[in-house]
Amino acid sequence: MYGVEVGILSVFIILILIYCGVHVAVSLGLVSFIGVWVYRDSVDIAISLLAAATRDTVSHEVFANVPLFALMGIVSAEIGLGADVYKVADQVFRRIRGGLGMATVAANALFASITGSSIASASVFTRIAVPEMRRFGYTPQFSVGVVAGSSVLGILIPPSAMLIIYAIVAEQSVGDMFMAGFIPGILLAMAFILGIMVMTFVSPNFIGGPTTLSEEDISPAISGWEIIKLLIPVAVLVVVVLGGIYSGWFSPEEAGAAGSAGALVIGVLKRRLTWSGFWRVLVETGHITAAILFLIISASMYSRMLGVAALPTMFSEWLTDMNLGLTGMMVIYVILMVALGTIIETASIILIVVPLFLSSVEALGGDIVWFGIVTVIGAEIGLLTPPLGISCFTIKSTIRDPSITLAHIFSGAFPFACIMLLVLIAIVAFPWLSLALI
Amino acid sequence: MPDNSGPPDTTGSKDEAGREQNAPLRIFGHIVGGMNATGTCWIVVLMLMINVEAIGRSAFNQPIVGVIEMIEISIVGIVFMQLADALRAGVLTRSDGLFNQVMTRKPAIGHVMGLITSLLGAFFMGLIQVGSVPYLIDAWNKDYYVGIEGMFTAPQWPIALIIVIAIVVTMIQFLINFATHLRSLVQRG
Repeated sequence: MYGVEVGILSVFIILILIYCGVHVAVSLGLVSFIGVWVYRDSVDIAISLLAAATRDTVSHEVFANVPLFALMGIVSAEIGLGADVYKVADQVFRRIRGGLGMATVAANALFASITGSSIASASVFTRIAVPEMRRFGYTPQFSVGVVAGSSVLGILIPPSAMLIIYAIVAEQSVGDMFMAGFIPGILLAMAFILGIMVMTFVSPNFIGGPTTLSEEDISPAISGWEIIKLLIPVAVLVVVVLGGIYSGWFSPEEAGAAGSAGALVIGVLKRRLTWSGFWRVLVETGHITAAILFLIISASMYSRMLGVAALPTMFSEWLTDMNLGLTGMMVIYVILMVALGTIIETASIILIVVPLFLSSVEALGGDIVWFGIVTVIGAEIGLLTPPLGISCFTIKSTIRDPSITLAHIFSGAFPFACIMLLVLIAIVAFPWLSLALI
Repeated sequence: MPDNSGPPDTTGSKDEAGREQNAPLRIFGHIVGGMNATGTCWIVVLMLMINVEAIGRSAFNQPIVGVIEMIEISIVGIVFMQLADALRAGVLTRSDGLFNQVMTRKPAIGHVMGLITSLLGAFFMGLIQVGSVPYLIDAWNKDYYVGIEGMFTAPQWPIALIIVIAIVVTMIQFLINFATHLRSLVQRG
């Protein structure tokens, strides 16, 4: 039992360091260093493990997915494809009560199929959708809450940075993870739209919005031809990337490279990409790449340390001995994910927790791809909940209206966090929702 | 993930255009910025390489020799070229909820937390460095290479050198953050 105790202690120390503001990579790396030093009783072995992880970990083609899909998403946001999609969704839903909220969800779902991060979605739609909803009289809580809630679609509907990270940690194919996220993503989008519909009846004061629409509001602002013109670029990117991966024509990293090149070409053709904008996009891509991949390097130190301690095997035996069964373990796991999601962000959670649970899931007969979808949704619920809901903080830092507070954002996002939990329960109960397309 | 919570600006050490007045710091800033620019251009090269490889594979039904190895080298290069700048820009992943709250309510304690986190970061970089320098020397002396002999090979030492330089630069950046917090703490008395 010595091993399990030291292992669990190390996880606690990592979480405390992270909570105190130590960089996540530094926390993981230092605790791994001390762990290997204690287990092997050798500083030299511990140091060479750090150095080996640093130079070897990301030297593989699969890691090219991270910069390429980040680049594609950031270019798409920079050249205004998010705004284009919103115009179309607005047109479709504007007649219905709560329609602008539904339009935000639908636009997010569509934009999510060309971008892989909820942060990108949150910052784009805070700028476009919130002012529009406020103009039509929706409450501040609902306007920002719906943006926060639907931004989560960015990581579930492929491509997705978090599914890439999970695929790397769990040694699954990136393409399989992408396809597994598709149905749950659409299901979540539909649940959000349904939820808004219910809210307009149950608590209209929470939503606000126009009670009667004037003729001017209803009349079409854009023609059918314009809608097609707005949607063609997005459609081309979706066909190239998701079509390319699903048909097997492209590997995921090739699809990411083609998608990035495609988004850049669209930006040039639409005359929306300036040299300074291009440079800004590249620098941001570089920062995200460095942050994520250095996190993965440190996570590799950590999982090598766990391996030295044989902890995943012992942990699996310990869980099996408790006779929880797969369902019982998943209940505990989902609670753990949601709890962790409220204090640290998704990528770190995946990298810290997944290596511990993988062998247990396999031993109990769970599917690793399905487990990944559960992991990502569970951790992302935390993005919407205090104290550290990152999507909510992104909205707060993007928004120009000082009258909208963090409390507004968290209370507005709460119903959407509840809807996510219901969808997560459905996905745990019916694994085929994740596995049908693979 | 970006949290924009870089160290607070030191008052008085910059001119009106925001340039560092201290010469060594200014030169160091140019090094970090230059490495960032190199890594940034490298991303475009990576994208083009993978596109070319995909076209080569599907149109001519044969992979271009060495492209896979170049892609693998590029990813490592991009990460380490950008690492120090990501730290400087405050986008290196951390959970800053507690830190920011302490910083607003009790700035002195916040700066002490900043001191500790920066020092731990510098120490971690130091540990990686102790293991990376011997590898660089070996890679140079014993001609380590990647790839398959007779097909395509590339020497290991350039990437090992990039890692060693990047880790030193990132360590210095952590120490600069440390000094910034220390100065704020001293100025507050």
